[in-house]
Amino acid sequence: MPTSVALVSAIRGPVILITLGTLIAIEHAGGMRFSRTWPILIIIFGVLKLAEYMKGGQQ
Amino acid sequence: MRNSFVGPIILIVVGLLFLANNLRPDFSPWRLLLDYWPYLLIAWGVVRLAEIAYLAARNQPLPKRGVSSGEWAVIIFVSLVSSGMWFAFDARDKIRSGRINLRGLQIFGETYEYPVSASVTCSKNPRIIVENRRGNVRLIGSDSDQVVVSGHKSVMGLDKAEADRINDRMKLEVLVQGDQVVIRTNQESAATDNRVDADLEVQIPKGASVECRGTHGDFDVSQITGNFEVHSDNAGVRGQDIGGNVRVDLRRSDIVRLMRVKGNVDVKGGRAADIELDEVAGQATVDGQYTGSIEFRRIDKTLRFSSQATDLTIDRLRGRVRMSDGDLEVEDILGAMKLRSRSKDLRVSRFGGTLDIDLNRGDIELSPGSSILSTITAKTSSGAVTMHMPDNAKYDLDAVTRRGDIDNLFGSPMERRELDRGGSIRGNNGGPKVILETQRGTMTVTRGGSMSSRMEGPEAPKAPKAPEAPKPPTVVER
Repeated sequence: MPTSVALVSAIRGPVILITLGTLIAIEHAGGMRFSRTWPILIIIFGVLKLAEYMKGGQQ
Repeated sequence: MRNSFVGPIILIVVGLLFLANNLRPDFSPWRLLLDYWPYLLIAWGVVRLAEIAYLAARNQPLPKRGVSSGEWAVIIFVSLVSSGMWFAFDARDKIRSGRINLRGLQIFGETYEYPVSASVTCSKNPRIIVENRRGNVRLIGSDSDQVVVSGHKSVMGLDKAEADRINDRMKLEVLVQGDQVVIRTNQESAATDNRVDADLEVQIPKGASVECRGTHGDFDVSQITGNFEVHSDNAGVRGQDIGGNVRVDLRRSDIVRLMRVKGNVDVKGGRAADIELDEVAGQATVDGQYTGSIEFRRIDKTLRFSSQATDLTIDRLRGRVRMSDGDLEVEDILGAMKLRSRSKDLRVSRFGGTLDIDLNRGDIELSPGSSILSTITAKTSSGAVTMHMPDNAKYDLDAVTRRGDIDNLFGSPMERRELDRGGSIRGNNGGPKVILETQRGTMTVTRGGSMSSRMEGPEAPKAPKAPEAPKPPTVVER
């Protein structure tokens, strides 16, 4: 059974990718420009790192 | 790295897209990629996530990283290419639809033309007011007492329907209001970004006075006995055979050419290129920064020219004045001349009146003709001074250079004297005062009234210009 740490670390890439795609899709749809929304990527990355740390702390 | 099914899926999808393109040419996989590439990224992430969930559910070892660095590289590449192409396609669509405006001018689309004509009867000496925002207007005086307008409007539009709509909103008006005739093309009421022009040819009674207003376009008026007035942001102005006064007020201009004017001429050229005045019976006042050629001929009363760097006044110009970048040539004046300039090489020939010249920089060459009739004062801070003294002239000459060579080619009775690094040439036989002075430069006095005039006949080809020292690309000071 893979650990939760490994799971969180594995989904980090795909989640970031989905976020990136979403932000650009928003721009294409005429919403907020990517140049204004990109910090969300850092936030998501930070949240995932935090989750990884907390899962690691549990074990 | 373990196998993933993303790679094969991408291959299948790409194959399908190109197959679709081959079977149906109007279907473009690039266009599809452009429109949907952000969703492609999302789908990619979702597939990866699903993969990991699948592995986790089956208790299989998870990859250390959900998306490999190679994949990130591909993602970044796709993003850059797609966004670049997206911009390109976007721009192309705008161009195709004719929606690109460059400084208010539409450069795509087609021009549709509509003829216009109108005529009204008016008095013998009407005041004609022309309001045409864009386009050229030509007014010609005639013997009738009618104002006859003909010409055409051009309207830029994507299609005829759009052009028609715009054309309907800009109606040509010719209104008689007492002694006044107003010709108006109403381009502003079309209220459009699309380019609209009106080129008019107008026949007017020759007793008319004309007042033209516009923002962009030329005005050409000939054969009227009244006044001619132009106000425009950017216009070429031509006037021939004008009986009254001419007033031209422009912010920019490529040419102002006025010929055979009975009254006074007042030109405010703004930032202009060329100006040419010929046969003005009154006085001529010219103001502005001219970067092209400047030529004045036969101004019966006073000519006043002023620009940032040069102020020139000439009384009764019988010959001509020609001015270009760094040169000023004056030929044949009956009255006085006064010049203040920052930088000009000056040549004056055949003059009878008082001469008062003060240059900051530039050479001075004077050739009075057969005799010296009045006082001459010519000073330059830096430049050579050459005086072609007439053989039998009466003069009281005092020619000084503070620093430079002195050449007495006239010979006796003139006296040459050296002093410090300069010197002087003096001579007096009881004529008018001639004061020549340079702070730094050669002083030459020659015998004989001729000079190497570079002013040829009117149609003579221009002498090739000497190569100029490179200058910073600023406005030419004059």
